[in-house]
Amino acid sequence: MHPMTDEGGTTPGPAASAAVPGGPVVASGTAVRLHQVTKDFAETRALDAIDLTVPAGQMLAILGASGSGKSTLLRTLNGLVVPTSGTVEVLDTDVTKARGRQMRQLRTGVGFIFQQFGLVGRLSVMENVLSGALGRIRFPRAGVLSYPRSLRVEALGHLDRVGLADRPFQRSDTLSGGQQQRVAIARTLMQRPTVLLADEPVASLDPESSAAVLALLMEICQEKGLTVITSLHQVELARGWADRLVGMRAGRVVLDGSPKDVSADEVMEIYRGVVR
Amino acid sequence: MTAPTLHGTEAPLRRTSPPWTRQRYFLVALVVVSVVALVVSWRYTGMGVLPLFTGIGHIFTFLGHCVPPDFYDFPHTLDEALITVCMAVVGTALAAVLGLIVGFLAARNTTPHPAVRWLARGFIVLCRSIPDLVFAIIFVQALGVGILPGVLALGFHSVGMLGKLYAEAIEQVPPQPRAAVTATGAGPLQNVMTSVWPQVMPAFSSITLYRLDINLRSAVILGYVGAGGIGLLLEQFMETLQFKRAIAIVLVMFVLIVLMEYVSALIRRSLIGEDAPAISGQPRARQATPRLSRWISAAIPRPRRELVEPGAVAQEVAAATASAAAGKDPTRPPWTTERVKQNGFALGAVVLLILSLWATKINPITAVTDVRQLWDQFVLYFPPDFSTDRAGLFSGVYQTIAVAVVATVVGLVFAIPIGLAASRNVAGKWTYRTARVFLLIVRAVPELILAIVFVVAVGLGLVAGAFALMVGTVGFLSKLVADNIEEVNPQPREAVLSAGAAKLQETVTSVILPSAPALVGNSMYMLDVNFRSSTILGLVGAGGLGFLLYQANQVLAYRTVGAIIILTFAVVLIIEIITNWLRKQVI
Repeated sequence: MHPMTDEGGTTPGPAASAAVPGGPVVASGTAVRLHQVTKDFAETRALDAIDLTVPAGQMLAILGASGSGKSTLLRTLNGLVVPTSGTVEVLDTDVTKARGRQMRQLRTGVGFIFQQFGLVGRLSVMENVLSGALGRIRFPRAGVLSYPRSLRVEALGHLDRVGLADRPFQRSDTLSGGQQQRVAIARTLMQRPTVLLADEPVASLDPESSAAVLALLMEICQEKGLTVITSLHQVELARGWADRLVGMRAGRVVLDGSPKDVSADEVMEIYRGVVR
Repeated sequence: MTAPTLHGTEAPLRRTSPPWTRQRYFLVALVVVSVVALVVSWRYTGMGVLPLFTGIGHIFTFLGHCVPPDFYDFPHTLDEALITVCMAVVGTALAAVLGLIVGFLAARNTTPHPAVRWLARGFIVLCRSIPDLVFAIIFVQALGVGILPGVLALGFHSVGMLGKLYAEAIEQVPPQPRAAVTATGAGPLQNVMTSVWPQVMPAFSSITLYRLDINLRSAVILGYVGAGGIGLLLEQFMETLQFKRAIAIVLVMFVLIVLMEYVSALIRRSLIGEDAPAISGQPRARQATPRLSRWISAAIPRPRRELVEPGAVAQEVAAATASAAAGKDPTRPPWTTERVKQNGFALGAVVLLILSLWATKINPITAVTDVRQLWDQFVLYFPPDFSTDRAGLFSGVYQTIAVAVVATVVGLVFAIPIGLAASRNVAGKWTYRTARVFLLIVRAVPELILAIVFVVAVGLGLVAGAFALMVGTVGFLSKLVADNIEEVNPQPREAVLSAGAAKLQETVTSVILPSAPALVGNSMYMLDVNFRSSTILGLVGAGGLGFLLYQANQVLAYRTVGAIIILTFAVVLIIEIITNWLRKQVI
């Protein structure tokens, strides 16, 4: 459904074309399908009978107040959270039934960007980026002690794309928040994903870095034709980048439409808790 | 009831004293129980300060026989000292390997199954509860006098501490990087090696070096029961009343222990100094670079960092890819000072281990065969015989507990002022330095040697053991107190001083009180440690379970030895459960 094309995208730089094999992704069909997905944490219902279908190549932004179920929804899509009931299909794989190797295979195709970056602070920028390739390397060089040169070259290319090619061997915890999120983006690119999930990717950054990092992320996703599902707090950024807005409140989808069709007032009502 | 306010109206009276919370009740109960336990134990052991004063004469007479030290056959002594160091190194390496395995199995976030976790934790508790000297007695019995029993004793007992601390370090790893690596499709081993190992490596190095320190002290003592090295020499000289030669051995041990402490502190700081936790979220003041690091830093040219335009590196990469003959690989990390240091120390550790194996003549392959003989010895302890001397056994348990309680509580009373004096942020420069040197000396003298001195002073029995353990407790606990106090957040101290408080008021309110929970936790830990040490001291005639064990072993009453080991294990386990529970209630 998402054949790979050149990773350099529509405007490949010398680095990207040299560094990354394969090609841009062309989207078709359905990437994600949720049917009556419910998730309970002890006495709290985080997701309540969610039905959602995301066509391949769509850029979808989930809006909602804290605790509305956005993060849980994203985490059910790559199996980090197992739903209490319902089915989750991603790239034609039933995530709720996938185990072991099948789950790892699925995760390899689904990139995930976390709000707190999820970098291993003591590792270098390069090593963190290379960890994105762990799902596709096997014994004897399983990435446990070292990585093949071809992957290291590819990682440098991705670092170049996110503007950090000058510091591949710097310790990750010495970077600024915006730089750390760029490393996380490069790590995700290393997975060569078809679907990209992002959980509040710019919530920990200052407004200037937020705009720059989100612009970079969305440009890359557009270049590669990735299916993107991201939760965001910044409504204007979401309206600017997304093809579709989904609003959540108390674990339910309460708004679903194109940014053109949804007014700013309607969006703000998600946060006020008053939804027509 | 109401009270007048500034505005003349009346407001309901509010309480001005803190409420009696569960924690406060426990704290008061703990103090009361400690005092009662001290009084009961003091009387039970027949403790008194008077015998110590009257016995001082004996100590001086004994010391008179010891001076001047006779460094008889010094090269041989040095050889044996090096063997002892090697025994500590190999024992620690064995413990590190075993500890690493059980640590990962016992940590909540890396264990493959809860049942495996409990099995691993059970093994860790078992290893910790049997003192290394008891292990050594068993292994010497099975394998004969030599280095291997000592190595195995150190290795197995150390797994108890290393496995526990490794597991705790693993459980403290932040979960976000693990989730992120899991989300890339990485397998379990890849995940652990990428997101857990790099984060726990500094803690592992630090804990292992600390254990090496402890093991050197223990290795000296293990020789005393036939596990080779310098301790065996000491035992031979003491047996034949050659005190001048014995004191020379003690001095060599002392130098060895101080040297090891210095070297391991140096390596620890060089490797992980900047990774130590910051105080209250404040960036840690950069420590003075240790001399060894400065030498290494000076020897290695620093790589120049140049800002590169986006794309430029990739062009370089493309060029490098095209030309296999390119001498420089931009995808390989440069040899920075940090990298050279880390690799250098890792290589040094491997070389030291190989040299130690060579020096101790331990062949890891044949050692495995030797270990099979342990089973033949092990079956001799079963079924354990509790009935022949039931009263003696239980009296031994009471005596050992009483000695541990006296040593811990009295040791704590001395440890608080000494710990304050040894804190950089409280004491003046010279007080701090004097206190630290004092602590270094006290900690460098093994408790068994202290026990021998006190046996000379007050005769065989519990009192000698209690005094020896008390001195050891003061050394160990004072250092813990000082370390805790040095980590106290400086900001409240400034606030209290700014409010016009006197130095004493400031120290009590913003130094001692905030570090009280840690002090309670450390004292509990000390009680646990002291019970095990108390068992060991019995071996030189300081009473309790250890004395019974020694006697039973001498007359080959193996089933009684088995019963004593099981009793020791049970009591250590019970003490650990109670102290853990109390710690949770109070802290």
